[in-house]
Amino acid sequence: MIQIKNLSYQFAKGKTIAFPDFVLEKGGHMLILGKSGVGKTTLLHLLALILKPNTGSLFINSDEINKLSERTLAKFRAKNIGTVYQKPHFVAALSVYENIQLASYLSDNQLNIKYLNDLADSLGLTNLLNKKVSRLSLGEQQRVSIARALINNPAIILADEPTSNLDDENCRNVVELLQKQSNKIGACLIIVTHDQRLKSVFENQITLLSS
Amino acid sequence: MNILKISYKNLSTKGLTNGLSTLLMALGVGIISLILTVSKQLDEQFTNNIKGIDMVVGAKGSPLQLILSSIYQIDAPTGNINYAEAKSITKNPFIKQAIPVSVGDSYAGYRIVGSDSTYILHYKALLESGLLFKKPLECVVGNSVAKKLKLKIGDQLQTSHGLDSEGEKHEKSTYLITGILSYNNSVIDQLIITPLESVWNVHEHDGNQSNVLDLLEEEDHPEKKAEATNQKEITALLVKFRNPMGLMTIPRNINTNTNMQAALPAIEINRLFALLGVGVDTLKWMAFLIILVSGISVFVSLFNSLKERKYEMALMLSLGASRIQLFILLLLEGLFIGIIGYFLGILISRLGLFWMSKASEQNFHHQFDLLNLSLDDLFIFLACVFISFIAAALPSIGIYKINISETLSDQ
Repeated sequence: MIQIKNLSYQFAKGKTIAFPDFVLEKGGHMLILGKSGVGKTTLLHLLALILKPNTGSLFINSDEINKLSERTLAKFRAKNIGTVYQKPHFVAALSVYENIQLASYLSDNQLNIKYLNDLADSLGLTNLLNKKVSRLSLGEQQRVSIARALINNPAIILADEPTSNLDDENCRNVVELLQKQSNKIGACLIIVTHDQRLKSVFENQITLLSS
Repeated sequence: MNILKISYKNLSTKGLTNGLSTLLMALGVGIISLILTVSKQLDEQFTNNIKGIDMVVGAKGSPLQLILSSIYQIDAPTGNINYAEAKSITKNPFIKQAIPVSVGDSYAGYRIVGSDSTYILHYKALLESGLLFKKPLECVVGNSVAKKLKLKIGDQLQTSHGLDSEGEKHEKSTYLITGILSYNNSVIDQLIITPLESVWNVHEHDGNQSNVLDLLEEEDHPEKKAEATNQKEITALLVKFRNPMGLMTIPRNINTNTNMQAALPAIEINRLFALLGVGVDTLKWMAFLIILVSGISVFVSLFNSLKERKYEMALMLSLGASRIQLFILLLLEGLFIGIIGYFLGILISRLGLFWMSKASEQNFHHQFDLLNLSLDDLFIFLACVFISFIAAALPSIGIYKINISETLSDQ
């Protein structure tokens, strides 16, 4: 379960963004829409626990997250939150397989090799596992970052514009994948996007407006 | 998957840049280690060989040359001295032992030293097989010579005049090998030892044949022949004093009152090393500079790589890595270069030593010990680790300044 209350974030330049309160039950899916510049990525980073809000509180599984120390926060994030970032970032020196494995290693989880192979299979990555990430197409890279977000069986899956670079068919595939995988592990799924194609797919939506 | 593996992968992805840093490190280490090993082993060998020899008496000339030729057998002798005259010195009560040596002939480039059994006893050399020589034209062979030339007891050696293998052959005199010495780690390994009388015999014989003037003179003056036996010559006398008082008086006495000279090995060798020392020090500093430049190169390459890999670092932080973990990751990359560079450098130094050993064995019959790791090498290792640690730690501090959110959303 995720809940935010009176959450706001102030940028270094002084601009403050306030976010609408919401509650998402365990296993629920939600779409957060908004034009660029309204703070979609900021909200995602707040939810991903890599930014600290200035006011308000954030609850995950009824723990108030703002009260955790930075180190506990990092481990909590690693174990409970899988994030697909807008721009696929990878460790360039490592292969696809190793990049996925890395998420498991850094979260102190024991790597489940069978699960990794199943994930790769369902994402169509099986033949790419030994390649360097830089040799993959953008769509393939996107799928690798989805696999990486899922490897730790997180309670929450966050995706930042996962479909913006994809054509209609791949867009549908990726969304289906995210839905299917999050259903499989009973995780919350929150997608932040300006992609109007997704509007019809999700019932639960909030729209961020510019202040 | 672990931090070590990730840093190794990072290093190998940028093989060229890191290879250059490693090579620089290896070069510095190689040069320093080579210099230290060579100067140490030379020093050891040099002091080993003069152990127990306090003074050398020989013909006038350069004292260093006298020492080098009569103890180390690497330079040409200064000339000959009269055996009887040299022997008269040894009556001095301060003198404990005096070993005569006579050089001038060689076999296949290895020197033949005419002396007596005290020479072999002095170096505490033992017979590996066979017996000591008993009469002229018998000889015992040093271990390295025997090995190199595959000599065995009973072999006949046809020696040549002069100290290189191209000298004129003494056609009618052959030496018989009666014994082979065991390895002694001193100059004696590279020598063929024979009684003094053999050298005299060979040369009297030679002289009669080759020098017509001498021959004529001898026929005219038969008394000269008798005199010739008193005119026996040696190259040098290796002297050990009974107590330090000898050192105070005897050398000066010889140098002023006779036409021979007395040289003190300890002083001459110190002088030689003082001369070499300047060059050695310069090279040491140069090698140290190379290591330092390698450190700077590690610094620059890690600094740049951290800039390029800021996203990676932010990503790993978001995936749960701690900053200290990433700091260690980058540190390891630097240390890898330092440690690999070190071992590569030691390899270079040993290859260099091997090559030098080959060359010096050919020219001076002197070998270096290749598998000798000394305390100096440990110090070089610590220096490498320290320099690469500092070079890696300075840019790696940047890890603590990364803002995850900003870096990841930076387009």
